[in-house]
Amino acid sequence: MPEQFNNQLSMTGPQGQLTNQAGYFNTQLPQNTTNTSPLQNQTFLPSFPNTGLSTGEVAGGLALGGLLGGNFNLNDIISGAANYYGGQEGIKAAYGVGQAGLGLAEQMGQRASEATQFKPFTVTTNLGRAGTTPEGGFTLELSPEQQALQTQLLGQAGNLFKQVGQDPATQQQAIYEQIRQAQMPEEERERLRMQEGLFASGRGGIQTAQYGGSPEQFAYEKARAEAQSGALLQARNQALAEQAQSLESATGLLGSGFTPQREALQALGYGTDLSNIASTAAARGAGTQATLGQAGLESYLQGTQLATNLQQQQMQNLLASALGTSTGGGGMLSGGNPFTSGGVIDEAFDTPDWLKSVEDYIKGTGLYGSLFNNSSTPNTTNSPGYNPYGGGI
Amino acid sequence: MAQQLQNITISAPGFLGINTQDSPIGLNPAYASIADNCVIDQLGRVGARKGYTLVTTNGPAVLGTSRGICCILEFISRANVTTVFSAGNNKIFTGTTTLVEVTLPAGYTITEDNWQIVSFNNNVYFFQDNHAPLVSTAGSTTLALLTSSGTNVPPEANALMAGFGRLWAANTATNKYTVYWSSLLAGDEWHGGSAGSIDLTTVWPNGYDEVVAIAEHNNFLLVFGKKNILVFTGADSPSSNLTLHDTIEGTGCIARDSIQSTGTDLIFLSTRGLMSLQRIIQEKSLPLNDVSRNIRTDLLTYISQEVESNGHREAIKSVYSPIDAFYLLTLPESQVVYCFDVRAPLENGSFRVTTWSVLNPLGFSMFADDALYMGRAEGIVKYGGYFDNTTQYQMRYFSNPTDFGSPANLKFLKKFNLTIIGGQSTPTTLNWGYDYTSAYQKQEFTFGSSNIAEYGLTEYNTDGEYSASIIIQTPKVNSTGNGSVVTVGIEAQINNAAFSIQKIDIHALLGRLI
Repeated sequence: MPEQFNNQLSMTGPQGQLTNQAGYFNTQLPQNTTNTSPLQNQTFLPSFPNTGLSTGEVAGGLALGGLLGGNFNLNDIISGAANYYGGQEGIKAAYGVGQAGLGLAEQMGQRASEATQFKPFTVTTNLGRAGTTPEGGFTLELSPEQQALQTQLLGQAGNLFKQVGQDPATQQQAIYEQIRQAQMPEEERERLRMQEGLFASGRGGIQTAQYGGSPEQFAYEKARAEAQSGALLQARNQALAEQAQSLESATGLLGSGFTPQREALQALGYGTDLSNIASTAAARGAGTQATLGQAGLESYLQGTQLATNLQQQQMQNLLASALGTSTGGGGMLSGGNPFTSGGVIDEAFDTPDWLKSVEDYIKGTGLYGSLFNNSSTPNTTNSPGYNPYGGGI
Repeated sequence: MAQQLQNITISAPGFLGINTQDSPIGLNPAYASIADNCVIDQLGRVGARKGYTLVTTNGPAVLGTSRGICCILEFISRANVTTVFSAGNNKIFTGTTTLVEVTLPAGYTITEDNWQIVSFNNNVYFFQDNHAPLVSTAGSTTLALLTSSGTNVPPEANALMAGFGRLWAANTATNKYTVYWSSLLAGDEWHGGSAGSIDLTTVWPNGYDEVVAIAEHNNFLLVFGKKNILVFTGADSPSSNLTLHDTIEGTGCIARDSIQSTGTDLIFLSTRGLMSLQRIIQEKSLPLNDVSRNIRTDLLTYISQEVESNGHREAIKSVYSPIDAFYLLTLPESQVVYCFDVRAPLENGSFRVTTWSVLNPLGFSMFADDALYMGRAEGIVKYGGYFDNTTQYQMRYFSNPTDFGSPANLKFLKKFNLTIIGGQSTPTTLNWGYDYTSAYQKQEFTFGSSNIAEYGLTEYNTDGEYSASIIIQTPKVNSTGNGSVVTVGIEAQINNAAFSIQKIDIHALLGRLI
């Protein structure tokens, strides 16, 4: 029976509050067809063997007894054949019961296999769609927004990774230039102050062997060189720090870029957990069905075996009653046709006329016409007491 | 009825020196229009300059047809060995009596005699442009090139000065705006130690200028451009402290060797004439004074005739004689020497000035014995005596035209009573003229000879000389003619005797009004 659930998970909304809005997490499982009893399927069990003989069969047996009361020692032959026949019938019945049990077991196995077979399902959230495949894999499809976000994040991560991969000297140079640009205005002011002082004092053109230029210029250039060295070192440290930070950021962005997928897969996990409820129920149902089917089958087979045994015993008893036993002497049929008027059976059951004349028929038409059922008058199947091997004695 | 003669006295004629700048009429008669071969003597009179004595005996042999000795320096080493260096005929000599060529570095060729020779730290340095600097160590007669290795090339400068423990140099053939200084006490170290330089292109107050000379005065370093003067302080530690103290615009130096320090003044020749930077210690200021204003036009005219080379007039030389208290400025092209009496300036701030002619010195040098030596064509001469070598020379004095305070009356000069100090056997000519004429009427006379007493020489029982210590001549000369303004002059052939004009008394009649 199809079963659909709309599970709305709590998620963080745009305002940061937890929301429980429909559609945020709409996990739809496919229709679940479990919980179907295998016994309720279109399965036809063989009917139980009919343990009661029909009137014709009994009459046949009696007629056979009357026939055997003739001149030849037909009684022994019939007794042997009947015993053989009874044994064969028991074997056939037992074989048929086994075949029926095998067929039922296969059907139950097939139904259990079908009931426990993996049913692919898809989990759809606003992050995307995650689905499973019959082969055991899964597919993942992000929403356009999430795909764009992932592309953006991965692109940013890629850029940052490029920065990580760059020669630190390049970034160092860039940072150095930035630091120097920040320092240079003040340096320029200092230089102008120095120049003003130098030229106001007439020292602007001084060149000395000690300092190159004037001591003031030397001091300025020294301070400038120190600032440059400091900036260079600072740029080096900053470049390395930024590279490490880029690596960290890139890693973070990379992780963030796959977050929608991860969340979708996690939703798939949630869906899997939910689907496990149904699949577990189906598995349990299938197991229960299989167990019950097995128990029913065993019961059926035991009943059938018992019925077969009883039928065989009954036939043997009947034959013994009709024909006597080798140890007990003559039976009911040893004294004439029991179906004729005045016969035992006729006295008991008032047999029809045709049965009363069976002796003639047997004697006139042959033995097998009474012993075996005519194929032109098959038994009706699917009727109570159906026995495919009935119609004979 | 005859008029009474009036006496007009000119006391100490020419005492104020030559004045050719002011209007002669009404000018103080103490000014002279001509005072040639004159000096202001110790008593403030116009007297004959001294002559000279030729010291060098081999001048013609070593100087040939050259101009002569242009540069002289007396160097006394720490070992108290005196060496006189001189330059002329593209050679450098030692000695005074006999000029001996120094030994130059191999292959060294001298093409000019415009050396600036400086004694510094027991060495003598020779600098002039386009010549590698030379050094004489401790007065050695073998000159060597200054150490030059790699970039340590000493400047081939034209201006050199020793001061503040260093040599200072400027004005090379290619750079006339940078002053270089050597390392401390190392005249051969120009690019190491504490050596350095200063580019003055941004310092000149009045546009671009060229360094002509460097001097030290009043603890200032003075850098003379042609039109500006830069005054620096902190020259004792130039690398750290050299600082512009003052600038003087419009006045520079046009002759490197015109700069002389008198102790109180620094005298130099500028385009305005001879200037003096006075020294005021307390105020640390440097008042600038034109000391040649009385002869400005004449001086500048003569200066203009001097050849300018290497950015300045190289031939102009000067000297300050503290003994004679004069500053001499020779202008060789004009063959004129201006003699400025530096005892005291006149009311207008100028020095009393006379001229010297005939002498034609090419260079000067004051020696340690306070003797003034000069370079001439024939060699080194010593200032002294009253002969130019062995010949007489003429002293000339002429007053400015004067009206004796009565410009509207005719003057009839009748008689001159002269008072001359010295002048033994000196042929003298009295000149007078009227109304600005240069065609003077002349009257020659000769002073008699006399022996001057020699104190300390008289011995008893010997012939003593009991005459006066100095001869005073009082010649009297009758004169004729008349005019509204009168010019009086005396020309004397200095004949190995001093000659000073003490007073001129003129007896004259004042005539009618004209």
